[in-house]
Amino acid sequence: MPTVQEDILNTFCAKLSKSESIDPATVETIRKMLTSVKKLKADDVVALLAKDQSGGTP
Amino acid sequence: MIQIESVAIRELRGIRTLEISPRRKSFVISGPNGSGKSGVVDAIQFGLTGDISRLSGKGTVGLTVQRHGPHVDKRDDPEAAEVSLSLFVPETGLEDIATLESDPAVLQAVTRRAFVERGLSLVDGPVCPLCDTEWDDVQHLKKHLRAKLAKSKDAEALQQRLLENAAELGNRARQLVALIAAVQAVVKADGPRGFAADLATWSERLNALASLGTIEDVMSHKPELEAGWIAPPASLEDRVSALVESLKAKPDQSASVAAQTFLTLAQDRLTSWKAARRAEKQAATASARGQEVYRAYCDAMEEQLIALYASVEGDFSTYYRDINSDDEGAFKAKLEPSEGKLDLEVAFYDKGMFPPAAYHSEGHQDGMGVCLYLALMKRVLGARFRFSVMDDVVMSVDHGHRKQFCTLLKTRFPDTQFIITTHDNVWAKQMQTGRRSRR
Repeated sequence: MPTVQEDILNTFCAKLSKSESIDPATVETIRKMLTSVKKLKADDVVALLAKDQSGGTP
Repeated sequence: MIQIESVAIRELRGIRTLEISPRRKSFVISGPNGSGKSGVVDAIQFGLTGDISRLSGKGTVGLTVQRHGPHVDKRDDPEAAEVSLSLFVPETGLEDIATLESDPAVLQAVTRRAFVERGLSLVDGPVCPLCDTEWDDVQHLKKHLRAKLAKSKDAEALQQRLLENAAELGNRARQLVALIAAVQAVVKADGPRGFAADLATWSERLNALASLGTIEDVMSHKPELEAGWIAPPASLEDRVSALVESLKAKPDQSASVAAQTFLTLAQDRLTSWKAARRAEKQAATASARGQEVYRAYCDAMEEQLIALYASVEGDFSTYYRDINSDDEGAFKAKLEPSEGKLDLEVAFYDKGMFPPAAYHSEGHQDGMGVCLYLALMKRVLGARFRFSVMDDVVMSVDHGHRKQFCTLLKTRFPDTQFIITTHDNVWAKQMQTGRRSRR
């Protein structure tokens, strides 16, 4: 049985996957950031979301 | 040092026209604020150096001699501004050079003076450090050398005067070289044929006079000094006039320059604006995505919390019924999230749903607490709920219900190790009987 945290993460990523403005690679990166043992930094999240979903900057 | 004979100023700074003639004498300029006194200083500096320091250099952002040097009414006509200086250039020491040449003893005294001075500083005994002559004692030797220096006092004054003049001449030569350098580009483009080359030659000649540091240097340039050290190129005034006429004949480019300046500034601002727009778009995109991510997170949290409440609610009710199957077999509970809190209501027989403390006994509430804890651990930790410590947790529960509680732990959590403390021997034996624990 998955933990509550795992359930929240899976539900969260599933909802993000339905977004038209966030591509699957970004969703996967967010998943990795949230499950990494490294401390999550706000600047890294902002930089990720500011990126053009095709790889560059908008 | 040079001195000013006269100054003529036209359309410069706050001055429309002004002529003053100090004639190498001290001269006082007085007047109220804004009458143009500083303008005279600016004019003299401009005439001597081609620059106005208060309009150039650090702290004068946006100011230029070309744009702000002319009188404000002539700001679009900088050619109207003009400064003419009539200067007195002091003698260059030709008389002193003649004295040196006519009296070899003076020249010898001048050249030997430094030698004797050096020797005097090196005396450390009765033997002369310059010629090895042995004296009766040190005092006699020093006295002799000092007498030699005294004899050359006039020569020293001449030497000092000559070198001071040479230094002043060098300063003037460097200033002229700087002025020539400033106009060379214009002369090359629009000056009379050969003028630029003549100016270059003149500049080189002046440069040679810029650092006359010794008597020998000064003596070696005697021909130039005799001929007049400034020695401008032939027909300088005529050729400068021709250059001025040539420049005046050129089409007025001030509008073009203004347009070019405007366009350059506009280009810079456009580039900055585009960069700002890109940054704004990027920030707006990040902001929109951030809000979308935040909404997704809140929705996921909400969804999972509701699921968690439902799961805990069900397990809690089941566990409680396990313990109280004799009298509350139809027990049910409801977890209801509301603004900033979570409400728990439980069934009190068939009387309705109430808060746990409303009608249930202390013993029943004690049991509810443990059941709620177990339901929550099951949901949060799942299979990882393998260890738990309970310190006197069901002391208000009667013996019959404790036995059920023991069965609950055994059947519902067979893989979890419980460490339970109690001061009640009956309860301890009940747990042993149920093979739930070791003692």
